[in-house]
Formats: sequence, C-alpha cells, structure tokens
Amino acid sequence: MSKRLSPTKILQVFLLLIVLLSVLIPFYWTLKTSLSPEKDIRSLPMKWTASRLYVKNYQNIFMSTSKAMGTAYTFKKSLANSLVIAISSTIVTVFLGTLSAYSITRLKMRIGKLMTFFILLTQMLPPVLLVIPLYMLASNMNLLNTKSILILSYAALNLPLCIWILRGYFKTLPSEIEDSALVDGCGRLQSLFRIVLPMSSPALFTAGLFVFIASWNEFLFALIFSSNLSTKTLTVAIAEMVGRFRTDYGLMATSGILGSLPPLIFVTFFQRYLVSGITGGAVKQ
Amino acid sequence: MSTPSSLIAQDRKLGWLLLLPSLIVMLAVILWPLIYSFFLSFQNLNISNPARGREFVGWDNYVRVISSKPWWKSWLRTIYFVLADLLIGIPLGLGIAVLLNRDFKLKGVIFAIILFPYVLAPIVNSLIWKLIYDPNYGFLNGILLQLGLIKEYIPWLSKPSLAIVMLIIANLWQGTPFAIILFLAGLKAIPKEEYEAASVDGASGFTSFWYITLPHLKPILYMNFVMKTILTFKLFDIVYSLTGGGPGGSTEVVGMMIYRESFEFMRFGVASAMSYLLLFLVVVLVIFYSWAFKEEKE
Repeated sequence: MSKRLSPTKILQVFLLLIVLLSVLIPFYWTLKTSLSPEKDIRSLPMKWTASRLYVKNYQNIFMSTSKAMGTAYTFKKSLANSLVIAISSTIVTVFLGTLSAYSITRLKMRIGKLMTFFILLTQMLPPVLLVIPLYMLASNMNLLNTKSILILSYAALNLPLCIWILRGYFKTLPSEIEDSALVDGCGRLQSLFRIVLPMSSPALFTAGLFVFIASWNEFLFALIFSSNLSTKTLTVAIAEMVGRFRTDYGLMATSGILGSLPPLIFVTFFQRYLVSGITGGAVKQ
Repeated sequence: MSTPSSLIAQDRKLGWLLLLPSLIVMLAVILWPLIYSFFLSFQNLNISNPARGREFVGWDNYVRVISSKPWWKSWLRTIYFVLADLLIGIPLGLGIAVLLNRDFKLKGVIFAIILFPYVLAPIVNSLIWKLIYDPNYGFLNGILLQLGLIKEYIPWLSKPSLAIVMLIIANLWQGTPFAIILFLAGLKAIPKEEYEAASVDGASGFTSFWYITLPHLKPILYMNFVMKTILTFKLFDIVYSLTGGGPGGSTEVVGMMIYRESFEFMRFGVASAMSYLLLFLVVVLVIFYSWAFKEEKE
C-alpha cells in the first residue's frame, strides 16, 4: 500500500477533527471560564483564552469554611455529599449484587429473567412514578434530607444492571476449582469470598464503575430528597445555579469542571470496562 | 458428580438467603412505589385541603389529562424532540462509528474523548451549554460574530422557536456517544470476509455498506431506536435546568410537565396518571419496534 495521502484519507481526518473539536470546544470553554477573572468572562468581543491563569474560583470552593461563603461553600459541601452518597451506594450495590449474582449462577436460582425484566422496567418507567410514593413515605418517616434514602434508592435502581453484569461474568468462570473446594468441605459462602470474588475483579470493577457514575450523575431523586445543605448533592447545587438568571459564571463553570472530573477520569483510564459493560448489557439481549 | 439431595436443599435455602437483600431493596424502591402510584392515579389526595382527605375518583385523573390541551401540546413538543433525536442522532452515531472503525494513531485517546459527553451528568451538560448559549458572554454568539455570520447577538434560549432546537443539540451532544459505542461493537462483529468477497465481485464501498453493513447492524439499530426513544420521551434534567420549560412553555416537554404537576402543584394523582400514560406509550412503541425490526428480518 502506498503511504501517500489519498483524498478519502484526508476527508476522514478532516471529519474526525470536526468531531473532536465539537466534543472538546464545549469542555474547553467551561474550563477557560472557570480559570478566567470576571472581566475576561464579560469581555466583549469574546476572548478565546484567559488573560492570566486565575484559580480563585477553585480556591473559593475548597477553602470556604462557613455559610458566610455562600455558593462556594454550598459547592464544597455538596461535593462531599455527592462523594459519600455515590461511594456508599456503589459499595452497597456491588455487595448485594454479588450475593445475588452468585445465587443465580452457582446456586441455580432461576430468576435471571426477572432481572432482565427489572432492567427494562427501570429504564422505561418515568422516575416520578417511584419518586412520588417514596417522597410520601419518606416524609412520613422523617427520612427526607437523609443520605440513606438516596443511597437506598440508587442501590435499587442500579441493582438489576449490576447483577446482570456480574452474572454474565460468573458464568464464564470455570466451576471446577469451586467444585473441588466444595468437596474438600469448603462452605458455599467461603468459596464465594475466597475463590469466586478474587477471580472477578474486572467484573466487580465494571459494575462499580456504572453504579458510581449513575449515582454521581443522578438528579431527580436528589432534587426531591435532598433540599438542605447536609444532603444536597452536587447536581442539585449546580442546577440551582444554572437556573438562576444572573449568576457567577466563573464559580458555576468551576463546579461543572469539578463535577465532571470523576466520570472523565474513569472514562479516560477505564474506557475498556465502560464499553464492555455497555455493549455486554445492550448488544447481547 | 452426584450431589446429595440434602446439599441441594441447602443450596436452595442459601440461594434465597443471598437473593433476599437485593429483592427487598428492589421491592421497596421499585415495585411497591409502582403499585402505589398506580392506585394514586385513581385518587385525589387533596393536599391543599387535608380535611377532605383522599378520595377515589375513578378515571377522572386520566380523563382530565387526556382532555387537557397543554398535555397534547407538550406531546407534540416531545415527539418533535424524539424525532429529531432519532433522525439526526442515529445517522450521526453510525457515521462517526464508521469513521472510527479502523486502526489509526491515538485511537484509544480519541475514542475516550468522544465518550466524554456521555459520562457527564445531564446537569453538567446543561451547565456547559448554558455557558455556550449565554446571550451576552456565550461562546456561540462570540464565534458567530467573529466569523461574521451574525451581526448582533442572538438570545438562543429566550426565543420560543429556537430554544427547543438548542435543547435538542445539547441532548444530541450528550447522547450520540452511546450510539457510537453500540454501532462500533456492531461493526466489529461483521466478518471481514464478506467485504473481501464483495470487493472481489467489484462492489463499491456504498454497495457493500448498503448490502453488508446495514443488514448486520439491524439489531444495533433496533437497540438505538429503543434506547433513544425511552430516554428522550422522559427527558427532564436538561429541560429543567436550561429552560425550565420556557420561554412561554415552548420547551415544556412531557417529562417537565409531569414534574411540575407533581412537585410544583403537588397533584400527585394527576401526575401519576400522566406518568402511566407515558409509560404505556413507551411500552407500545418498544413493542412496535420489536415487531417492525423482526418483520424486516424475514
């Protein structure tokens, strides 16, 4: 094959460049806004770059200590809340999901169909159908504005997919090692934690990745269940600011950058897991 | 290997025990609320007038929804949204997937970048586009003016006819990577021999795309139709945060209307009825897709 650039090749590179730019420019613009002093943001005509690197917005969020700092403090608190909630629901979901997936594959509990049904159901139903009854229940039981109601909700919403991913993986593991361990008098639970789990780290990781990103990004449940500072998640705090007419663009952009960091780090380093989870979950049906 | 029956019985017991926590959580957060809101859809809670308490109102909520004009208007907007999403998003996703389906330098990095929008929170997506669309300091007005394409700044989100288009673009930006992932997986699964055989027979690139690629991608197309339809019909996050349904109700899609009915006006019965109507339509559409895609296969 010749190394010369053919017209098709040039066209392909050109198209790819357009795609890349249309993905990156919105990110660049947000990052630039977060690192620009107010007068750069409001300069006319528009400036493509910041006149100097301005990290005050980031400092404001991380250094803020009390309610006197206003919105910056809200972002700091909600960032921490989002982390706690997303990590907790990931741990709970992957743990419960592992038990269930083991039960389905190794103990031959025939509810695989039920899980597929639940996956479809959770995808299709308008979330308000769940939020209204849960809201009524939570307000009766004084569970509004607690992290636990969000953690529990995210666990339930993500369990079907989590079980599905883990089940698919457990099926591919050879059962001989486990069988011989069982013959040697090893209990089922012991074999789950000592033999199956150590072999399953890629699947556990994939499942955890999905649960974390979904919980980190979720909005409607958080909007209804967390209105005060002790539970408010980052998405709710950001939405409040985006919805305002006059707003501090620099601070808003900074919160957007901080909010997109965890998912972006994941997709940069663990792209393979993410793609395998999506295509495994979607294509094989 | 023969397993003693006592062991099997033990396994069954343990099997249920291990499933129990997951089942309880899903029952409490998914199944019970679903049933409860089904009953709610036939009730009037009278939250503004607690003395009257709950009353069973039969099909009243459904009748009220179906006979209301704003409801159907919001459906028209939603359908416009969904159609744009399907007709632009699916070809776009396929096109980019074809572009990416070869080996080139930095492929891993480029693919990761293309996936960026997909993993973001829809709320962060709104934030990004708010900065782009801002009438005074936004990127879009800035660049269009610098390129000489507009003479004065356009208030993208305050013009009723424009606002919904701007939402569709923001939504496509976030949703297209998912289509790309699915299409790429589908493209990889097509046996290379078929293309080689076709090119030996003198088929052009377009012919082999039409007769080999597309038929192989049918299940992927189906998945894309289903997922995009499901997600876009209940779209809420970006509408809520970018336009709040405005200006003048021009972006009040069904998901937005249901939210306002429930948590702004606190009419839980009516909102449940609306949600069940939406769920019903989505289920019908998904069944229709399955039928349509199966039919063509034979």
